[in-house]
Amino acid sequence: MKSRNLIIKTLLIGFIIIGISASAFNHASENKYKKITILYTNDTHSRIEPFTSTDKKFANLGGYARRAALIKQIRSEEKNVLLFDAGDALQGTPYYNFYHGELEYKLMSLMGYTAIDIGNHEFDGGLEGLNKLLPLATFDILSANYDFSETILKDKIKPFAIYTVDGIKVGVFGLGLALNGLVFPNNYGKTKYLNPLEKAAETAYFLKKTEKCNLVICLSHLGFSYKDDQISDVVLAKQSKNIDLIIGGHTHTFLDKPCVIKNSDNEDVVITQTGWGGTRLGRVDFYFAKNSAVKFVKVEAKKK
Amino acid sequence: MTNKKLVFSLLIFVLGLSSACKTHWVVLHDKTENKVIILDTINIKQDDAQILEIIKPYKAKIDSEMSEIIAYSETNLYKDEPEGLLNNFVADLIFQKGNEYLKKEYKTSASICLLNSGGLRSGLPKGAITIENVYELMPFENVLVAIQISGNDVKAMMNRIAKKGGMPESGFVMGIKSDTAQNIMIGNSALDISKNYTIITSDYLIAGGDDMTCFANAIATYPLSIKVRDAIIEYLREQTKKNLTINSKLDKRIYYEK
Repeated sequence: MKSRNLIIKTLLIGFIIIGISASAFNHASENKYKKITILYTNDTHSRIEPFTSTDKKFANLGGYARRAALIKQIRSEEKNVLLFDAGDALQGTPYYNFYHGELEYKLMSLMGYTAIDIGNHEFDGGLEGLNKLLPLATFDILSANYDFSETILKDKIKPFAIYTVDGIKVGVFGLGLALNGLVFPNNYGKTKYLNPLEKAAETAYFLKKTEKCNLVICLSHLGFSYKDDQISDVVLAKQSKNIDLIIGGHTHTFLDKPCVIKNSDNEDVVITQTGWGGTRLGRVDFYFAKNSAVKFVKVEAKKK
Repeated sequence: MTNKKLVFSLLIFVLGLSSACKTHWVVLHDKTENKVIILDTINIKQDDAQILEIIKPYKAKIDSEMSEIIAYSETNLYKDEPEGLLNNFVADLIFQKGNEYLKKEYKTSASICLLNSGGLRSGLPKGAITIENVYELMPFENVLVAIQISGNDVKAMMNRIAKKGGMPESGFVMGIKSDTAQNIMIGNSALDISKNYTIITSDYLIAGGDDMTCFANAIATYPLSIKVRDAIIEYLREQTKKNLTINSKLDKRIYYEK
């Protein structure tokens, strides 16, 4: 009898605790689901203005002011918005040649970019060029596989960042291409290129398992896919674990629908890319639900 | 199990349950929604006024310099493979300007010119050519370089060109058969692998761009004090000064052998 009373008492205390924490939790979010809206661009290539009316493919499309208007509108409709770029924001119009990225970085900061990746053209002004732009950026510049520790960018480029939005932890990291043969050696100096697949595995594991991020995003300038076995987003996705979304770039691939691939754990990885020149804005809305905790307890109880 | 232990383990379960509720938000992949929004004037009625205002002074300065007409072209020049009107036009003028600078700065000359296809980013229009057109054609800051390599390395270079299905070049003629270069003529004579050759190119290819590994064994390198874009602008201005218009032709400098 005594022990049965104790069990009842303990269960009662326990349910009170659950009740308190659950109500505190419900206060933060009335809904069963949470939604995070991810907006993205890639390879915008200094297209500050829309393409001209005489352009064969992209007449009158794009432009920073138009993109900014759309982003503002989405932010007014959605509570949890993150905005990313997958590299090569720089180079391609006289705006870059005249002002070396100053206007691109100013405007991307105003648009509220969360983080960007480093593309091969981010090196076009040399490491000094990128270093000069950093004070203009209110966003993070991420690269998990460029080691800048022996350069002036030491400690200024983070491998990853974690953004907590509405209680959801979003882990984000950047990946870049092999520089040799692609970027003029003087422009990258002592930057070390590390294997993107290895760094991705390591970083994604850390974000998902150690940091317990609810969503892991890779900003990749590796390119969508290649005929040969060069490392690409498709190659990365197939052999990966712990990555939910790859926002890609470099190959200027217009994916009207994202490509969904099963990773090595047979889980979905979404790959996206919006071509180039800032003619499109990509959007992915992720929904989250509370994991069923009852199962968790049952399994534990059985073990005992 | 003693009562104390039982109470303790029950409490752990319950606390575990409550903390699981708090932290385990799981992404529902089957519910993920995707959308690509085209940035046209239908989807976005009004551009952001604040951004436009910031762009204004930057744009004004560029417009005033970019709108200058520097030459006239008789036809649309566009890129093609294995050769193209644009490829031939740009490679020929870079060959000429490169040799002028090479003579002036190093008192030597080059026998051929090679550029990378990816470096020609946009065509040149028929009619007026502005500075802006040249910027769009060559937005990069690459500089001209002359490099001397062995005849054997030239052959490797030609094979690389064949494998790529042609590159912008001037000063040589070659056929392509099964991804390899055939019947290579440099100027008026066949390629002699025992000779060394000097090539006008850009720092991009010298650095191994487009996998041009043949430049790694340079016998001599001559960096020139002019950017590719500025060489194009200089040439166009000179033609206009001479009252000449721009034109280009296909001459089977690179062709597929049957």
